[in-house]
Amino acid sequence: MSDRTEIEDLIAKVSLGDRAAFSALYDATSGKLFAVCLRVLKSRAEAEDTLQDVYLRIWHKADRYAVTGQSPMTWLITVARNLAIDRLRADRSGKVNLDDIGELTEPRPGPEATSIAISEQRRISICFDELPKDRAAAVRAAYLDGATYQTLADHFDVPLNTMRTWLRRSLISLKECLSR
Amino acid sequence: MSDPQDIPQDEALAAEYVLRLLDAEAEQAFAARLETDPKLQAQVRYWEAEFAALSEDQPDVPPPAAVKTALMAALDGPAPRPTRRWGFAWLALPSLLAFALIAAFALAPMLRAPAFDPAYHASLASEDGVLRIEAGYAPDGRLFKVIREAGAPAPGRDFELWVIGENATAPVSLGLVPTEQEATFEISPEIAALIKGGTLAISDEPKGGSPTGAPTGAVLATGVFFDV
Repeated sequence: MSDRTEIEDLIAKVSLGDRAAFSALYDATSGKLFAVCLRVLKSRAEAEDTLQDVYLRIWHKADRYAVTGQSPMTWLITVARNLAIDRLRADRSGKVNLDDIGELTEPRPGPEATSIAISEQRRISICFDELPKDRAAAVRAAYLDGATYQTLADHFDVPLNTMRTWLRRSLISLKECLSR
Repeated sequence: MSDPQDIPQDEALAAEYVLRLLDAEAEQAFAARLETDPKLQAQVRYWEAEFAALSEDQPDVPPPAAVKTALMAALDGPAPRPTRRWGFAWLALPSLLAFALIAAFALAPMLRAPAFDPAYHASLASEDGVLRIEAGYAPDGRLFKVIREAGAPAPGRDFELWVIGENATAPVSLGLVPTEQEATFEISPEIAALIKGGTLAISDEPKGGSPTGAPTGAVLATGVFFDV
């Protein structure tokens, strides 16, 4: 993955209609954005289709990036995730079968990977570790899989309102941890 | 709204909005507040950035090469089809329809597309006559028009158009033959420069177009552009 300023430069050039920059931006970021779409849609064909929409949106809206004040990867990932969720909900009226995904918890890296990763571990992962395991899994599924409250309630077998309360509390705890 | 209780409430609400957990009504209400509330905007950006870190930590998955080929071709093609953004957009439909009707009457003379006036023409037919395509190019607006008179790609396949410049050796993709019977799109100046004296070709490709940027399947028909 290229660094932040490099991607920022490419987005600035894309906003001027620079096709070579667009091609380079695609090469640098499409692996990440395809992973985002695939995780939400669980279908390669739909993820490929959506990825094309995502980059067309980026091509047309690159001039809007600067005003968001976001990091370039945040902006790109947000565009991809929102379009993938639009597609998911248009196609399947919001039904995500979390059982199809397999496990909700992330595979843990092996010990040798851990020592390298630990220095780069992000605040948010550290804060997720402070939440009860199932609640952290629910928030991750909401973000990464685009799960709705209903899907989460079904999966964790709790009433909808309980899930809502759980999740809101988890979000407030996350915020507290992140601001420390 | 100055009750201190609102602070964590809004934090959680902003996070729910970013996660896309709100129902249509709550989402719409939040979006309306967001328009004018810089504090909420900052909270939304905050959560977007924090959560995006989760995606950044996921392993990349390289997409197949055909996606990029189709994408680069689509940059010159028709505007992308509108994506259904919000589930409740249909609520706005009656007023949009009313507006569209008024606009159609008021603006009809201005909105009418300029007449397509081709200067070059190419006529393609496969040897067995099953596939017949007419194409025209109007330098005014760099508009390229494709009319599919007969033939359709096999299931899971697409037809791709190529232009080969008079002195060029390699074909350049014009994109996929649109699924509509007739389509007009703008082409880039680079491709437009190849048309005079050039040849138009059509090939059979995997769905989404050639993954390599050069024809990979059978070339079904070719035709030289001639002045109209």
